[in-house]
Amino acid sequence: MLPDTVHKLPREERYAYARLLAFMARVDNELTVDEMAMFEQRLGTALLSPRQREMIRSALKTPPSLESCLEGLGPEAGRLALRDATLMAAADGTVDDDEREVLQAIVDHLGLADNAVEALLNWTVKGAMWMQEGYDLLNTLSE
Amino acid sequence: MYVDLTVDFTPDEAKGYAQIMIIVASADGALVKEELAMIEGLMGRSMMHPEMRVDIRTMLEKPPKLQMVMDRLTPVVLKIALRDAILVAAVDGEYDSEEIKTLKLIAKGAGVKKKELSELFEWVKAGWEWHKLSFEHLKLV
Repeated sequence: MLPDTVHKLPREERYAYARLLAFMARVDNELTVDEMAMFEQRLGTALLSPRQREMIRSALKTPPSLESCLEGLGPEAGRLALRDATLMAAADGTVDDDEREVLQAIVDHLGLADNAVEALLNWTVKGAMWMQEGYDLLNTLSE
Repeated sequence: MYVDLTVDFTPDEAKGYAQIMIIVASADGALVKEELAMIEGLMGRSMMHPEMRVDIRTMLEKPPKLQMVMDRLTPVVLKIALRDAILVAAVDGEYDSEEIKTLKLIAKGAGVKKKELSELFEWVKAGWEWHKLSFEHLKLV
């Protein structure tokens, strides 16, 4: 939702980024409204063409393999995809073992520090708190 | 956790909300890619129908009049739109005077007081700080 650099990536990498998110959305075999809202938000931010979005939405039905998703990602796109995959995993309020395993596999692929998943999950919690503060603020605004 | 209040908008409210984003983004006369990415992200988050998004994109060239849009929206929708319009205005790194003027008009329409508007600006600033941390975690700075 905030200023980002995803839209600056090459088109092919933005597509690969979105495929990874589609993969992540289906890791636990269920797609909640929270995950869908997050997924659609990230697709929008990536400025994919309407045709690419359609293709990505169909990837939700038949998710690609993790390996094929990772192949198309450069170093920056991979890191941004990892961050947003973490947001996706946490979007329904819990991160299950399968999701954590996938996040760790992405970290290993990118050669990041072992504590990267934990750091990003902590960051995600802070983001959720920030969003909640926004809702609380809206609730206190004058009528 | 990330299902926003905008998901519950009626189609007309969703349209008005997105129109306000466009009005604010084009208030300074130039629509930059960052603003466009933000608006597309917000439309995605509200899970707006793809066809409605197409309609909204056609308005980028010629945004509707703010007052006409605000007249159709309830104070609750206007408050949510104000929150997100500040995010849109902030996305290119600074608030332009025309953007601030537009935000103040939305705040007035929503019945939001000056002090409350400042609190919303502070909330946006806090969000920026949070988001910037992700780049540090990822060693992208």
